[in-house]
Amino acid sequence: MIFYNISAVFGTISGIISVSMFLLLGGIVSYFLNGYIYSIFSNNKILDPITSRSSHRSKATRSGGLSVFLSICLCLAIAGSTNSLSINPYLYLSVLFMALTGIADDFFNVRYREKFFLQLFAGLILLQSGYSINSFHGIFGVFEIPYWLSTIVTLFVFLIIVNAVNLIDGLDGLASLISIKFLIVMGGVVMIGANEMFLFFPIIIGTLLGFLLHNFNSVRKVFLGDTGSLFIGASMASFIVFVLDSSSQIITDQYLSRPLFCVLILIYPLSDTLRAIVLRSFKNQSPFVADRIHLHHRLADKGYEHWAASLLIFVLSITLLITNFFLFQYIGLNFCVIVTTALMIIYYYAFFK
Amino acid sequence: MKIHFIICVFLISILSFGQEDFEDFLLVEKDSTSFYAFTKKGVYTSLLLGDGEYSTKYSEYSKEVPKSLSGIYFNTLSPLRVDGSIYFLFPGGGLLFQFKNNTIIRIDESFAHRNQYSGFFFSHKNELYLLGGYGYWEAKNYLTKFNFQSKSWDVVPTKGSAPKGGINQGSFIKRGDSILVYDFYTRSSSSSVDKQNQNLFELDLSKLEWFKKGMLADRKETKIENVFGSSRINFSGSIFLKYPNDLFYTITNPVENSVLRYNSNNRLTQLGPKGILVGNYLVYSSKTADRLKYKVSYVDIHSFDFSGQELFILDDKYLFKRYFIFAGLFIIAFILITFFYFKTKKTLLYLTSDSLFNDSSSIIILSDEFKLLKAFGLNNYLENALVLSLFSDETKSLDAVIKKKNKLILDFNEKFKDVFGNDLIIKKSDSLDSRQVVYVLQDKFKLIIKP
Repeated sequence: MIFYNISAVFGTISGIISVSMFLLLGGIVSYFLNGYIYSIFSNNKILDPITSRSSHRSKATRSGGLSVFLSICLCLAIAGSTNSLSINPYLYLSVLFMALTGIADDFFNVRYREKFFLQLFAGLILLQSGYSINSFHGIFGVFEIPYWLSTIVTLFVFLIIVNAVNLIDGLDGLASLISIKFLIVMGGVVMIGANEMFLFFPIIIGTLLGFLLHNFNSVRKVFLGDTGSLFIGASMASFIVFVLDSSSQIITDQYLSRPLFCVLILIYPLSDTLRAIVLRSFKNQSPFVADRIHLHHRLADKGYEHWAASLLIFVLSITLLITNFFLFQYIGLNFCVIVTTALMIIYYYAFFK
Repeated sequence: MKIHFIICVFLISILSFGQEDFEDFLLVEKDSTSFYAFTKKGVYTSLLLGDGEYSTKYSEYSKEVPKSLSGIYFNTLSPLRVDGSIYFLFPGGGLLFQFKNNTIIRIDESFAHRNQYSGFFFSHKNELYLLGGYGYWEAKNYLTKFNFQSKSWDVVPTKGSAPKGGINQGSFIKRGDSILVYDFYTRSSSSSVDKQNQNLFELDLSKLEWFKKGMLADRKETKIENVFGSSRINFSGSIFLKYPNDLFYTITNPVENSVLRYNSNNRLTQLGPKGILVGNYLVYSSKTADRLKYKVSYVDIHSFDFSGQELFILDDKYLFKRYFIFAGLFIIAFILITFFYFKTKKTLLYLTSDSLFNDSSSIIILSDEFKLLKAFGLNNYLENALVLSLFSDETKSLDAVIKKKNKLILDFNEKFKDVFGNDLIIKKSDSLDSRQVVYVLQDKFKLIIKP
């Protein structure tokens, strides 16, 4: 057995090797599978139509999510068979259910109301795992909350995150880069708190990197599609619920308030979704209407190439997280919120206005 | 006849071997210098005299042991000394016995439920508890308490982060109001794999709440088969641990966050799972020279060579910081690679008869511009004469054609620069003949002609 204590990965050579192996495996499998599934989609003329809202002008498929999902399944099976990984089966089920919803949406266009109920159902499956947002961790002076409220809050947060990730999937690489940032940070937390789940992170990061090579390709372009964004969104939501469950051991408690930590690692999807909903409400539009008022569209309209816009958002959201990590111990939660808001306003005027 | 005789001798030899009466006893510490060895007929009380010698007094039980004990090996019972009493727990839990007035009596009205093999049998505030264990193909993480009124075992509900997947073959240390649990194996009914858990858990008995205290320092994973014959002995807040084939043993001290390692060489090869510590002496059963019976041996635990110290639990903060150094380097490398890749990568421009576009922008082009760009699509480098030939018109003078060409390229570049931020067509002198003018496409761009 070469996989010793995976949790102590960064303390041992064997741990680093096993993590690197799975990162590489995910990347290679995803890269080839993306190419293969692209060819199948392309040969069968299952292409993403070019409309007025489309950001692409050349042939592209929405096969990325399916390829990423299948790559992850394969890598998880290998990790599971070597006893290196153990994840609560309800977490798997919830994420699997969202991936299937995404596949259905990519092929048959599921209506928004139906998709909402399917997302709600996936959230209910997640609750069966035993993880829930059962505490506000001191926000508004509230800690433990009753079971019924915990269920409602967990489902609400699940829906918000899944849809927020779905909505930011509008530029090449954006959803993937934001997810990679989330997964890198969350990987550190899970490595300490629930090391048996840790290998999930190098696997999914590897598969996203493999996908990115196709996503940034101008000729054989592949998009994540709803399969990818719903699958990744559900994975991210599950780990947010894990962090906000009061029984979880979270290392960042020593550096940062849990709710603030969760908001910061999802700062772009959350702030962009909130902004879009507010603007649409002012215009008396449905909050779910498809348009080009997202922040990343502003960058694209300003002449940023997709990769540059995605990378800029990736870097800006990392700076917000790092700033809070360093400042929280000195200025506390309230001032951290003020500083974060001020920084976001500065970023908005400097880059997005 | 001869064959019958041989068969008889063969059968007798097998039966006689099978019925060989091995001595079966259970060691229990009495105080810091003496110990008990319980057998099915009586109890030996031994006083350690040093130098491997001890004096023994045998006392036969005043009554026969309960029938439920007759079918099992005595050394499979879990003993527990609480003040003046000694309790014995049946393998797997349920039946409970007490050594009292020189006899062993059964004190429960329960049954052998067999759900908690290898569970931790302990006392807290004069109550008897059994924590974790294994039974019916899954490890358990629950806590049961013996109810002296109903004489049965009740499940005690606990909260917090109990080890998911149960606790099988674990190491347990009781310290005040809490119990530390680590080095255990998990196994759920849905999985047939015994997986060694790498975390330290604490059960606070005053709040009945579980806490995950951190990760054990990196150590080689041990298969559960190797654990069955291991010796784990609790003593003064520490645990002595030796696996059957190892030539060393360790003493884990959670308070000092240390695992001390001692070389035992070949001196403890016969140490089995039921050894005890009496004062500084490790007392255990070993086979006699004829290997038919067991005898009691003991050895001073401090007489072995110290060979090193390891961390017991990893420093979470240190590990987290280390992870982020790696993660930070990964992110920086990723950003730099992405940045330089795209900065040096050619931008693809798609050309159709009426437009030039890429993924983010597009411009409308005239038919003459299309003619020129189409030529660039075939060759990145066009001589002036070739470009002029594209606009040649017999009705116009050469001068007019040159003016037309220059104006078209100038206007197109302006239009292109407005949208794509750069000139597309650059005028240069030929590298081979500086008098000749050539037109090249800007390095950053690559044209693809769409049918």
